[in-house]
Amino acid sequence: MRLFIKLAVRNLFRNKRRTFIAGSAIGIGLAALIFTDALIIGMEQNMIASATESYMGEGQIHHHDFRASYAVEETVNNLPDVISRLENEDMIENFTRRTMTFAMITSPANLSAVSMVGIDPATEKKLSQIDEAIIEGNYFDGNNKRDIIIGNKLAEILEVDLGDRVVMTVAQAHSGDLSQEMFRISGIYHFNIKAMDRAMAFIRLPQSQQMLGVGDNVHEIVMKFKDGGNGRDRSLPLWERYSTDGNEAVSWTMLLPELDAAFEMSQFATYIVGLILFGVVSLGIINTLFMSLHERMFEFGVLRAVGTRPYGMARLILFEAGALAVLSIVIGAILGYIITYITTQIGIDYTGIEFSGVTFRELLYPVMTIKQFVEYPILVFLFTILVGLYPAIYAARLSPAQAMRRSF
Amino acid sequence: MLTLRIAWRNIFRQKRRTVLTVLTMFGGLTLSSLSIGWADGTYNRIIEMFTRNRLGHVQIHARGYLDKPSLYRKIEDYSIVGHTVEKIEGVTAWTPRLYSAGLASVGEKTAGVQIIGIEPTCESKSTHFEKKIIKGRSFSEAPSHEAILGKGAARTLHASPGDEIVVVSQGADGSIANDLYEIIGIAESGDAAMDQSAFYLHLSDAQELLVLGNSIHEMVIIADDLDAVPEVTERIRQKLDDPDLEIAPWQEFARSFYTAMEADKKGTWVMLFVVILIVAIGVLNTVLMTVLERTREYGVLRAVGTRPPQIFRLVIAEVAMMAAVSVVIGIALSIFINYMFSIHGIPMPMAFTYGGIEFTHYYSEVNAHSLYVPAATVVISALFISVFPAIKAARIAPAKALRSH
Amino acid sequence: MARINNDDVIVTKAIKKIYRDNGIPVPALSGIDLTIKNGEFTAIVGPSGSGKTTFLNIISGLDNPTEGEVWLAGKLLSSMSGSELSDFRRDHIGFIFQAYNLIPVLTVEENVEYIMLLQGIDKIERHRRVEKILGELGLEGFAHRLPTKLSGGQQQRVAVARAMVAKPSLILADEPTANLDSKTGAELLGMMRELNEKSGITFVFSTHDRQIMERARRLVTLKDGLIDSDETRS
Repeated sequence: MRLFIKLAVRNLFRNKRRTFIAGSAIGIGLAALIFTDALIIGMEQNMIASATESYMGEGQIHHHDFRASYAVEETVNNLPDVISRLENEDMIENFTRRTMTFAMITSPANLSAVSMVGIDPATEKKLSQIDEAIIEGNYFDGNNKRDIIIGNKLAEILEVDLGDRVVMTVAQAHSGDLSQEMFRISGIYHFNIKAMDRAMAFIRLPQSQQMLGVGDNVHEIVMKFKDGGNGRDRSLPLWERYSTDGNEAVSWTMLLPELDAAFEMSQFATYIVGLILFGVVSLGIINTLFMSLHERMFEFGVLRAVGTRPYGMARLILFEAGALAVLSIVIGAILGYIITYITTQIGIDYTGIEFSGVTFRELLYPVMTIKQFVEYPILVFLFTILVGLYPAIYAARLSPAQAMRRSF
Repeated sequence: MLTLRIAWRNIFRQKRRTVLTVLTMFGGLTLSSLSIGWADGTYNRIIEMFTRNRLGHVQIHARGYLDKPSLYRKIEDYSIVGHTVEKIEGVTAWTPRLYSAGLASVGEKTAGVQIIGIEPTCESKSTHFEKKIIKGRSFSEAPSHEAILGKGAARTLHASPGDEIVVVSQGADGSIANDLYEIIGIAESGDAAMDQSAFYLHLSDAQELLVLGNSIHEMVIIADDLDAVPEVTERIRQKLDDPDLEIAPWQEFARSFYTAMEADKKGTWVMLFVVILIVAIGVLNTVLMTVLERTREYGVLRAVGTRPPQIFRLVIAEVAMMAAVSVVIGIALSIFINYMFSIHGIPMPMAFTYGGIEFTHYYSEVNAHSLYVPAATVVISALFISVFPAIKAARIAPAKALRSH
Repeated sequence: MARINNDDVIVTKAIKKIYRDNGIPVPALSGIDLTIKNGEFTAIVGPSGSGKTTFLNIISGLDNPTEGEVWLAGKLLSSMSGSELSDFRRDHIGFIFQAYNLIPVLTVEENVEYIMLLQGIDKIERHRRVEKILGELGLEGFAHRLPTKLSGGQQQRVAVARAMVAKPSLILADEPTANLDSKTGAELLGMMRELNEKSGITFVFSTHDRQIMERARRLVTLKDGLIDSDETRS
């Protein structure tokens, strides 16, 4: 057995250039796989962070009809109970309350339809990045109940600046009567996310509750977990526990279904492309193994003549395929590591680009994982051996007389 | 042409090796071709649909509107503009639109709405508005204080055709605008978010409500051909020649989609590069090996008087022939597969919405781009990489070669 | 390894072999009846194309006859499967070819011990036998050399060593001296003759080397696929 391995390795190096060239082909395939996987993971993390950390949070609770209707009356049921339970919830790191309605915002120059959100600045700060996105003014410093924060795009559309007055008009709960209030721009933010910069306006929670006539109720509770993975887990019992009493608790994956689906599609597409790519690579492997086989035809005849079994011949070729695989894996892993590492240092600029409802806010960095350097190489190894079966079976079927005649 | 004859017969000497090499080139070619056909097909279809059905191929606005939409940035006397535009070569149809925001109530229910004023006849011709009606009917030709709600908005307001709806907004003269309309229909555009707040009025009714006279905010233009959009845009610009108007093709007003698409396409190029690399390596190995094996033979050829450039040509000719075969099979197969997938798409696990249209399948497309790019790349890289072993073969010294093997 | 206690090492009956060369039948052997006994030192001779190599391939099981039967060491070759034939060759036959006998990437020692590895013999015994045979053939100290660093004569001696070391019933040598100069060839022949007399292993040569023909104790001449003459000398 050990002799066969020795034989295989030494045979491979008889023609160093050819072996190296073939190894490079496989290696490049592996490197491409590693890099693509790292990139996709990086993209996923980047986009999830962009969505959840900027505003959406990792989970939300609403009245079960609210997401479909946005009706003012549909506030979270049993709010005090929900809140006290959340406060005692181990997994939850932070949560905050919001009201959300359609509103009309008018300035002397223009008017626009927006989402008016009432927030509790202190708790909101821990969940969303509005405070960090402020470029002018402040994030609800002081106590002025007429403070309002809007996005820079909206400010441009309304042609307003810090200190200017705007009027918000909303419909009140139950009566449908219109309620109008005047506010002063106290802060302007820039998220580089179109929807946020253009169509949202934030005021203090008590003000919005008063305007809407909803008492102490809110429309939305936003949560953040201590362990980020929980947000992704749709089977978490927590969702069920809070989906009672006419409420609905959902993870961000339900709120951004397109994103989730897009990732699955990417994974799937990568597999397909990888498969076809390695299909092309396999042709090279077969070619290489056969060429080396043909060079040694007479030798193979001798080996068979002196009593090597057909199975032994096949094993020899398979070991050679294996040795080639090992060499290629090393080349591929090193190459993959270098390319991925360099990209982690410089990043890819996709900022501002929107994909499946989420906008990139930071540079895209690939993420290296153990899986890439363990699972993929193993797959490549098995793949090479599998491909080696073709020449191996051919070698096993050689009759000694044929082999020795063929060479002269 | 003896070279070609010899080259052709040579490639059959080692059938398996030739087959494998041809397969390698063919595989790389087909993979590239399918990827490009796929990307082009899916994107073009998406673009075709969202431009055709809602956003149009080209849009005209008052200067600055795209960047900062405002009630006051309007296009005056739009019918003159419209008539000029419809005579331009390449324009199929045009339709005017007007936008504002407001609050609408049905009974006790109120919701924020986006007021959209449309001209029923033009809108039908351009974007087939009548096909979007799911309940009730579309507008009468003359303005009759009729309103059509988006599906989501209708749900929020618990409204149906026959109900009365009141809308409040701000007029262009600063006054409060409000009026009463009869809901005659409910429309579904495919974009749920948009339908959540869509409130359609006859253009004239909207102009009256918002005191906009004969102005509009947007003119949507449908071109004959998606590929001709840049030219049509240019022609419109020149014909209208108006510094107060801004004429934008879809690449500009749907910029976020456009940039995302371009970014995705770049990714495809990188993948193609990797594929070509692997194919080139495969070809290199084969040609090198073949040259090495035939050292003695080349020695004999040289000894009897063949000159080095002829040997070089012989090697290259062999590769060229294998490349030619793989190109022929590759193009045939990829045309076939791309064609099949252009008719029946592959269902996506989850529908993807853009520009008001829901896309449920990935489609492919047969186009010149998906054929000549991969074919040229594979052939050129195969020939390029073969130059090295070919030079090696040409440089063989006869005496030394005859002594080997 | 196993020496069958049957005096006839090789028995062939009516061996015919016809090749198909692009559909045209080419008769290589047209009816050979031959018996070779234990301990013989026999040369099969004849002009090119007389069927010598084909005959050797058939009696060693490397090829099958179109008609006829072969018994080797008492066993009917046609009754054995591919694997059984492999094992049989491993245990009973040593091969020496005209050239390219050795695996170029294995050392002399590794080449010689190869068959013993197939037979499952343990490391110590293998090493002992290799040392012994290399000594007997004048190859002491060559154990770790690669074949590319050996002269033609040395390579052939290593081939002999490999053929002998697994204790076969029979050694088949196909033109073993054809690539050597006459002096080296004579030396090689002398060694093989000695081995034949000392250990009693049967040697069958296929050759048109005069020296071998002179030293062989039996000379079988083939012509046009049939036995032309069969002389035994003392």
